[in-house]
Amino acid sequence: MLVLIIGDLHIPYREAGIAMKFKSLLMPGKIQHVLCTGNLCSRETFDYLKSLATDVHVVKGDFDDNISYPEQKVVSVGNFRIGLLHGHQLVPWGDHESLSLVQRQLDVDILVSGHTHKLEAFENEGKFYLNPGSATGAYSPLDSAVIPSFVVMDIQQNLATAYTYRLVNDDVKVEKVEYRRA
Amino acid sequence: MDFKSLFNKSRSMDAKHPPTPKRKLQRSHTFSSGDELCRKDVSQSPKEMSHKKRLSFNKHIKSPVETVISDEEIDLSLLNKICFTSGVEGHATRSVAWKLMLGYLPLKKDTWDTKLKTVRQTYWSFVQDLVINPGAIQAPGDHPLSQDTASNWKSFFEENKVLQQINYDSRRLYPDISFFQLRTEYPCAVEGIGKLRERVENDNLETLEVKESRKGIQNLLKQKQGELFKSISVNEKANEAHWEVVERILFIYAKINKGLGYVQGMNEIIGPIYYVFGNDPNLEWRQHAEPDTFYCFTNLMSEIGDNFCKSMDHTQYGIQAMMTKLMTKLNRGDPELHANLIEKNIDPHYFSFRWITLLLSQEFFLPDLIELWDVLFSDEIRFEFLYDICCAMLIIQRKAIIEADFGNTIKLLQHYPETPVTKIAHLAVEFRDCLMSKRKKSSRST
Repeated sequence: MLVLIIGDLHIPYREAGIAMKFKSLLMPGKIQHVLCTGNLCSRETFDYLKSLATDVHVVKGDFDDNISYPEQKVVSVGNFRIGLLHGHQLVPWGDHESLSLVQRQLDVDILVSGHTHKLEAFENEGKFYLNPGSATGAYSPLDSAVIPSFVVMDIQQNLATAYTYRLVNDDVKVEKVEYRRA
Repeated sequence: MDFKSLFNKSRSMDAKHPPTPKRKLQRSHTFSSGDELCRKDVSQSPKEMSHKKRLSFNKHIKSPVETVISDEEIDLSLLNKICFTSGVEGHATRSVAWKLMLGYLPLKKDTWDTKLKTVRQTYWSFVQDLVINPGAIQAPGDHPLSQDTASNWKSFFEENKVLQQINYDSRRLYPDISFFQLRTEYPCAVEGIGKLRERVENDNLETLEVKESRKGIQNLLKQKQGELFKSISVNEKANEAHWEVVERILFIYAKINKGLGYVQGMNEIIGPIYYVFGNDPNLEWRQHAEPDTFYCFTNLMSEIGDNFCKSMDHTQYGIQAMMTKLMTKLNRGDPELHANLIEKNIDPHYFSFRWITLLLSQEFFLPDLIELWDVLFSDEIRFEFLYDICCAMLIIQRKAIIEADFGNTIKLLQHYPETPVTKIAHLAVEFRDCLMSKRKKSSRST
């Protein structure tokens, strides 16, 4: 089962849209579920995600004006429980300790967060943490040179494989990180 | 002597003499010799056959088909003849008889075990090899969104397009019968390929949201959502419905026969076959219903596959030619009816396309259809008789067709009224014999 993990698009305030290289990769009919870490900032962006897969889950970012998005969400994909939050609520932002606190609160196998605009995929104390970065490469308050990125996760019974996509100098770089559930 | 008088006679005899073991023996002996008789002389009248058929409710007596099947070396033409005249009784007998008639089982019984074993293993290795699971293959550089032609993921998505169609069609297979929606006792024997339907179906994920109650307590709350098609819970791995088995067979067939692929309608052909094999009371057969169905279906498709092939539609083997054949036959047997159809501008395409390609599977209820297929499969020149049956169906509705206008005729033929299958079959036999005698006469006169 393929799950797209994407977020921090900031369209139209910080970026005009997703790069064409990414758009041509993300064709409808491949991905079954979308998990979005928030900061879509516009209805059109949500509609675009909806065109990739019918099942779209969004949490509220600090720049989202849609009040129906929840702050945190837990999604079950196959045997995995995945926690989803934007990440601006955590102090300090993107801190591994704070993230593992949320992981314990939600009791999830994989915790997906965003906000830092930095791609991360790592395992810590048997749990998996994912940060898809910003799909448009929008600037963050702490970093102006952001590399556009997103993650596609393939979920088999007890194995989650995260494929990370980065756009470096107009070239798509793909890397693979595996996480096996204990 | 018919059954009723025989029954009365035996009862009166029982009243006179209490049954003794000796007499029982004698009786069974006479019956088995009757069976012998029927095996030797197949060309007996249908009346006698039906008389035998009515007797066979008694479990001690084997039906004629069973007798043929229990031979060490099976006489296929005899089997065909018997099935053609008297039909098959019981699921167990039918399941074996169909396998024989469709050329799946060899005629020598002692070769069955070895052949079945290898063939069934081959099927499962097909499943193992042909169902791609790109996540499980360690291919460096390959990723889900790859546009490389050699990518496993790319071919995976290409296949999903075919699978989507198969999935739709097998899911709605025979909705009036619960069988296909029920759980199968024998789910896929190959581990790790996952469920095919999950590749193309989009269930919404189960979600929990962190929310605060009015008292200020935060908790995870379940979201309500509409659950479509939840006949079987998704997460239970071992659960698999019968239609999913059909889906897998069709998918493997489409992958092996790339030339033809999957064409809508194949599901209607495979449905009754799987139904018969999957309902076999004999466990030995039933647990292998999936591979058996696959091979029987493949054999059947090698005979009627041309009808499904779009590029052959206008050749002499395509469906167009078959429909013309039907109309010529009708013209020879019933010129008046034929003329009426032509006059009303009714293209055979409107009704007989479905009749012929799907072997009438859409026109009858499943139990009736299965009886009809007994006859169709046992036809010596396979599926020649189908045209006779189609003609018979037209002739039965003759009066209504002639009276009706264009619209009503189409309506009538596309929703063929419920008619006993035996009536149609009998008429079809008569029709065939009539045509044959006509041909003989004309050849004699020339």
